[in-house]
Amino acid sequence: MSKLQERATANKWSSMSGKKPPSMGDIFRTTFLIVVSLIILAPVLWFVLSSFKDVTDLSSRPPKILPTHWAFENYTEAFKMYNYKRYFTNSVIVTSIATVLTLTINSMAAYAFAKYNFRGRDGLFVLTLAMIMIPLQVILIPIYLVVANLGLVNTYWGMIIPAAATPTGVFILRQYMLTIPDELIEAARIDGAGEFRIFARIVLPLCRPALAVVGIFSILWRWNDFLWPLLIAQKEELYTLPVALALLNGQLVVPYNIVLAMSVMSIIPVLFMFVFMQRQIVQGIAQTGIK
Amino acid sequence: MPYLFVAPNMFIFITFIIWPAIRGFQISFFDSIDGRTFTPVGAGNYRTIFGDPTVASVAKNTATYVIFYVLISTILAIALALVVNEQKFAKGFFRAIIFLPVMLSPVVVGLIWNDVLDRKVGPLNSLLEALGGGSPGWLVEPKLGMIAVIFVGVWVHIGFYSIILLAGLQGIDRSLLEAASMDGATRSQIVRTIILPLLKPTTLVIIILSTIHGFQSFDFIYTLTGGGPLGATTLIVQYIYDRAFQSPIQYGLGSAAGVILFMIIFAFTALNFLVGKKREAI
Amino acid sequence: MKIQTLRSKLAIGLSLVLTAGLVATGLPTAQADTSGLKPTAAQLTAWKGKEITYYFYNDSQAELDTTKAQIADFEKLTGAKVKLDVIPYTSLDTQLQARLAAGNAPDVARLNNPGLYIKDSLDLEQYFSRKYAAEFIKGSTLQVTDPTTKKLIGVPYDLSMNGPIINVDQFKKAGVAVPTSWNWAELIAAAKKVRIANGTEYAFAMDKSGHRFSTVMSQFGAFMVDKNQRNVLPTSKFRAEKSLKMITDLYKADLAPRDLWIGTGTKYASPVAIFIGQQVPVFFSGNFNLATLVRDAKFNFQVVPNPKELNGGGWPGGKFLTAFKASKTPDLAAYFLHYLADSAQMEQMDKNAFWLPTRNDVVTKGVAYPSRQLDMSIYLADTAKTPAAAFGIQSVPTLTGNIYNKLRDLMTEIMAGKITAKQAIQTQTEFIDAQLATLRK
Repeated sequence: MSKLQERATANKWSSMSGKKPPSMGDIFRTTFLIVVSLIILAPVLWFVLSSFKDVTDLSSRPPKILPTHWAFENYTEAFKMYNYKRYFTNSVIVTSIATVLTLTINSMAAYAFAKYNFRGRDGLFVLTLAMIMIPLQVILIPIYLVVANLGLVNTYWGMIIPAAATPTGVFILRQYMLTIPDELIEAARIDGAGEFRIFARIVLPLCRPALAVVGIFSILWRWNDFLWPLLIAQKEELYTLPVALALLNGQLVVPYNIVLAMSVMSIIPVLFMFVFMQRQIVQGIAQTGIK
Repeated sequence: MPYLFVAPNMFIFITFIIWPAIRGFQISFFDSIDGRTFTPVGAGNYRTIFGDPTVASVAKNTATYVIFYVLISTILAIALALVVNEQKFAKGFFRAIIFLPVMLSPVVVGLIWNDVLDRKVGPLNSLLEALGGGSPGWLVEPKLGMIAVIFVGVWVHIGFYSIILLAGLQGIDRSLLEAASMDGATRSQIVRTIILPLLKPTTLVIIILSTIHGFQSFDFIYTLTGGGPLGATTLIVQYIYDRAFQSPIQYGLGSAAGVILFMIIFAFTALNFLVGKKREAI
Repeated sequence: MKIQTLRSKLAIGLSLVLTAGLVATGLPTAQADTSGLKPTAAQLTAWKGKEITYYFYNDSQAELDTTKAQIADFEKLTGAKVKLDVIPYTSLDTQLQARLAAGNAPDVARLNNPGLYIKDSLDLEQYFSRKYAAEFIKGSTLQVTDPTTKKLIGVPYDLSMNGPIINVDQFKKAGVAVPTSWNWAELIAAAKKVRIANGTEYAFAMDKSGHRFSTVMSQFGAFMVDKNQRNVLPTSKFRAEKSLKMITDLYKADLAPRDLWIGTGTKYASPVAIFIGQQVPVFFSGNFNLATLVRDAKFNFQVVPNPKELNGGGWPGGKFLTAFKASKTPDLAAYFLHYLADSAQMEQMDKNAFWLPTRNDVVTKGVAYPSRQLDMSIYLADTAKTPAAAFGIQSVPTLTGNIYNKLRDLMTEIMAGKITAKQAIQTQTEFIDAQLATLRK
């Protein structure tokens, strides 16, 4: 094997050049990325800094970059005035249970679409895809009526169940499952394994990257979900973080510095997850082979 | 057996999405100001929508937003993916940063940019002033408002699309590129003649996704501009939302607009899909 | 005629409030007679452990805290439980309608727009005598009286009054005396002078609301709807145009926060943060912002009387309590409503949240506000001066939201230079006609 072919098979195609001093291309690329990163990071940083400013600083013109004094009381006030611990716990409960539920039923449905041939399969799948295109606001009141008739208003399940059947999740998982060789499943069948066993023991573990992607997206969506929990959670003990934020924003008089502090606090768990999981996210998407 | 697998998901779909969607479709033929008493109006709501100049402007705004959003997102995402893919230094870091805004809640995004784009107190204009560029009213001039909203929309989602394209890039067969390079093709020739065509399926996915996202944009726009200035950034989902949350309350009208929106998205997606299939991209 | 009595009643009440207020400082707050509030043994047995829901929103933290305290007392008194649902103001009506539609009605609600729920509300005269309505300021129960049955279906919980609040420190620095009476020309001149002397961003700011602007129109003698549900804007259109042009000119010149008004679309926006940030010396708002200012303003501020053009006085608003027919324990719900709106509770809430009372006995006795006594007395004085015609629009409770919002949107267009004040008034007139026509369908 030639050296070139060796290298080609050994690692993914990244760049043709070997160990040379940074070329014009490299410099251009890095500059471009730095500019983009600044455009992305700067506003977020500004926001976080603003959350430490007091009311006078916030309305000063021209705006100060750093607060004159670090207004940690924004955070303590937010904590005191608003039941942050409760809202946080609710967000965690709803997000985690919803994600587990989503992963379970989405993967089951995706498996059926990918590996079985049954009547109405294609029709159902197209219907599933079509569901992606309905914005929640359009069906808001009818969904609410249905949920109320089922007695699920003001319950955790009311917040969790309706959005669990994510069509995008089914789509992504099906795409991935299509790449699993049928022979594996056939072989297991011949060995006498039950259908559900095959699904749980063989197919699912192979789907880890796709499951990771759907799981992470589900966590993101549920954590930031605001309109639905706002309708369903009709007592304060059920409020999730975004609902609490919306409450602040919706009051006739908005204590803006508190809103800032609460917003930053609501981003932190997400940022946390982001820092630790971003590699999985990216690899997961890469490996689901969205082509 | 497959029915058992599909059942739980389908059950939730039907109960919580399909059935309400049908109800929504039904409601579009009625008038209701309180969600309980419905007066039938036949096609009245649809007639209102097609005859109302406010709706015409909402449609124009939506079309403008979606077209620019899809175009800019797609081109920028491809560029970013290509650059990141070739990047040697701190590749993972840049990739992570670009993905960051995707994780933010739309309400927070609106809050951030409301602050940054403020004409008087915002850091952007302070910077522009320092550079001698004046203080444009990003959120108070209708045309600038639309630009701001498109920019923020792209800012949020570009990471998502770039990652998908990156995945697509990494699936391209290296030997093709090595061969071309050995034949003396320049980088830009390789990009143009090999990479981009092979990236078509992924690009199509991006176009479809960004079109759907574009049409559904609401949360961050509403927090950012409330649909202003003077309705310049009121898109169709806000129109629907206002029919339910602002006086005068008109649930029937909102539902009718929702039906129309769904049909538009469906048509676009189907069109994209078919065109893609024709060009054998799928 | 009911409305005339309101003004004279308040005029009497005013002098008593002032006297009582001045005397009451330093004295312990008297306990109101609560003997009528002791539930019977039968009621206690029936209500033990029952739960009702109170659908509530608040303008200030003080209201929320006081409500929670009163709920705790109520629970002790009756052995029942009250679930407090705090709702964002912006989705108050939508959420309530969604709940009613789904058969999930609350038991008691604090509302802005009780007219929308007349057919859902309990007839209070079943539980309390015919004379219950008479306990409240005459004319204030108009919006909670069923127009067909003439029965009382709710109670006015608080009266709000619009008017200017000024930054006293800034006025002093500019050498402008705190006014005890003025007209609009004087107000604007003073505002401009104070702005220049202090280098503030703006001279004047008003809540982004058609309801707030109606105050100015009223002072110029222009009204939109009268008590017989008639469109009276055409007869006062020149005065309306004049007042409209005056205010929007300030915004167009950026002497008032134009960006805040234009850049927020259909959302409500209050410049209270600008006032607290000391970037505007004159803030045209109302007593509902007082509690927040008390908490957050780090400067001396004061309520000043409304400017007088043709008329003096301000513009009324208020919130109401209703109980719902769909309640599973309607008698408990009615009792809770009665409790919240009773003398002791109302007095306590008024004190803490700087509300204006709606009960005759509280008005007569006077509310000993812990601070801002002068401010509240000015609000009361303005209430007495408010022309009867200002209450006219309350005859169309289901339309007020639409009418105010349209006015607000037209103002935005004027500020952006899209239309003139004259065109705006023309459009508003046509809009009111169309709205009134829906009542006759």
